[in-house]
Amino acid sequence: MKTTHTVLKCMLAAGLAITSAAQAEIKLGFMAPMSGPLSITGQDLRRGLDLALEHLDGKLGGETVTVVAANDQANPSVATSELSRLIEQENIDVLMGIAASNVALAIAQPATQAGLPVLYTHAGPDALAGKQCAKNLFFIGHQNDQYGDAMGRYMKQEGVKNLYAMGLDYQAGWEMVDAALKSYGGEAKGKVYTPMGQVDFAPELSRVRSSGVDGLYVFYPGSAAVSFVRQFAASGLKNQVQLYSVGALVDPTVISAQGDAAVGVISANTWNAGIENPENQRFLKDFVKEHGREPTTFAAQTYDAVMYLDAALRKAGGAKDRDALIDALRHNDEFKSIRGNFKLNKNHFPIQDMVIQQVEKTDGGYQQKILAKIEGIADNYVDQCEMKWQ
Amino acid sequence: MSFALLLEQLLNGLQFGLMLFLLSVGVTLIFGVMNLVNISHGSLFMLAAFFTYTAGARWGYGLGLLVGLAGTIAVAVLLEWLVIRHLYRKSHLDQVLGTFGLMLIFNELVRIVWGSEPIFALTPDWLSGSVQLFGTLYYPTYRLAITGVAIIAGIAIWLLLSRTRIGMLVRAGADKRETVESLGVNINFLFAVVFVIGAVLAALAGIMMGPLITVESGIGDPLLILALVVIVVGGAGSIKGCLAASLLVGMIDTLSRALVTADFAGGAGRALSSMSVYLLMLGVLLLRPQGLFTR
Repeated sequence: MKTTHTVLKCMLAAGLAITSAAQAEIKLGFMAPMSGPLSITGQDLRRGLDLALEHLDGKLGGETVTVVAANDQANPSVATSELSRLIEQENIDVLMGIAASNVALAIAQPATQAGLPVLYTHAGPDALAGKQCAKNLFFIGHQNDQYGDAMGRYMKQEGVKNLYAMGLDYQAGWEMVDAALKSYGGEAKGKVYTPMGQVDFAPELSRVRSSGVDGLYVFYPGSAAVSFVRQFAASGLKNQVQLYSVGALVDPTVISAQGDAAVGVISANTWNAGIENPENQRFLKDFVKEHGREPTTFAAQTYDAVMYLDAALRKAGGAKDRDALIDALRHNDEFKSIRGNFKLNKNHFPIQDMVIQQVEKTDGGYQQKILAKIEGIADNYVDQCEMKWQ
Repeated sequence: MSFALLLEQLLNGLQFGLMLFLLSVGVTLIFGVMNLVNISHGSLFMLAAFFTYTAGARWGYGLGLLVGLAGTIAVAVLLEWLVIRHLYRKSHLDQVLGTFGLMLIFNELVRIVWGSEPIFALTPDWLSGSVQLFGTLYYPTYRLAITGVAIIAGIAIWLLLSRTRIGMLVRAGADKRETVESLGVNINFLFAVVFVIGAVLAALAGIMMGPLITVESGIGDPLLILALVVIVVGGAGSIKGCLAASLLVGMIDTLSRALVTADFAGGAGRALSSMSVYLLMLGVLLLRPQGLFTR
């Protein structure tokens, strides 16, 4: 009996030692949809995270990092219960990730109540940019409107005379179309929203043709992007109408399924493989080496978010003092983005340069040639946010 | 709307309707003859597209077609033998649960084998581009081609059912299964044949739709919902009803979308247009639950 006791005591002591050692590390919560319809996005978020940590030798702010992953399934109720697990059982220091806007909204309040710093790497719903902005919520990816805003300005600059707009019938679709039309300035000759799950776009494309426009702006992500782009090209409209969109329409997860139909599509994006800084070229090279295709913008933004957190942790001297960390996340001067110019607005959403890019065919596949840069794009909701720190 | 645009939209509706016919005729045939509700029919549609375009990318379009059809037939034979056969005498609820499970399994298998990112579906060069029908009306060659193939397949299935011995047995089996069985016909074999015919039609639809839609896990499912609408409207088990209902659903869906704009009636118009075919189904269920085109 006595020996058992001693052994138990030793084990307990060892256990305590491990726990106290763990407290000196950074515990990073990572939440993304790893299954379900958004799993493609979730996987690329994870790839961006893993590559960034690999480049940082498994350390954040100089301290060893443990990643605790959670699968939100793009479902708000799953996300909130996973969040309480991460906070109460895993004691995470910072949360990162989030692809779906509904999940972003659902976890905002419980995370704020717990005072947990969150770095959103992909989602950026307008409510959190406006009235519901909070000092622990940081958005390193984008605000949805930035894409549409940049493309609207570009189409105006290029002198598109008659514009037709189409989008998927849900929140992001309306936002992307409205933002583009707003900065384009003119009226659209026609505007159509198509329901989720629609596979045939022939009736809508016939209407676009008969309207005689010279530009068509659309928002279709994921599988709708493949069917839309292919049907657009097959309809013969490609020779009459320039197709404008946002990066998601022709991103690396869909472009190989679109094939030559994607060539010529002009889109707005936060990131591009051709952005020339050494950090970006290293990210690009190692991502392609590991996964056999170019990274998506989701991967790039998550990579950036890890680097952003790393710089802030260095400045704050770890994650234990949360106010110091939030202050460092706000004034993060040492951070070098793999995108263009990047800083945070007073609502913690980025002010960033947007890239206007066009799909070109190369020997081995396709690339996004940079046509223009639209500098310093912010979002339209910052005035509704009452936070003050600048 | 100009005359040319109207004509183009009618063509769109016809083509969509014929595609729905190819997908739903298998479901209705299987239901009519074997009294089996098969939710996994969309999986055969999906598998055919994956087989065809994976093989097509490697060995060219023609061989891809062969692999797609042969592969789907092989899967259908195995599926009938291993699973479907045991569901014939079960209740409809068991059949729905069983085949729904199959659908989930196939979707996950495809995700494991091909990944979750969509694959490329090639079209032969001579089918890309568009044809001038008359005046200013150009129509995509590929869409015309699949309309043609669908018409030929429709005629072939009609000839098979009305002019051949096996077709006669299928029709007899649909009306009086026990009588056919008591006449010494191997009903198990007959059912397997019907299941495979349904699979071939689903495969044809999947192969032809592949280049227009997104070849990824789960692509058959949204179309299967429309196929179920077609079956309700046309009357379960009726081939003629299935054809008429497919064309009706295809036309209504296309024309309602051809007319409505985003802000029409404050967005209510677009809600109505995406509901149109389901409203039709509701009306049929209320007023003529046996289907519009059954006796």
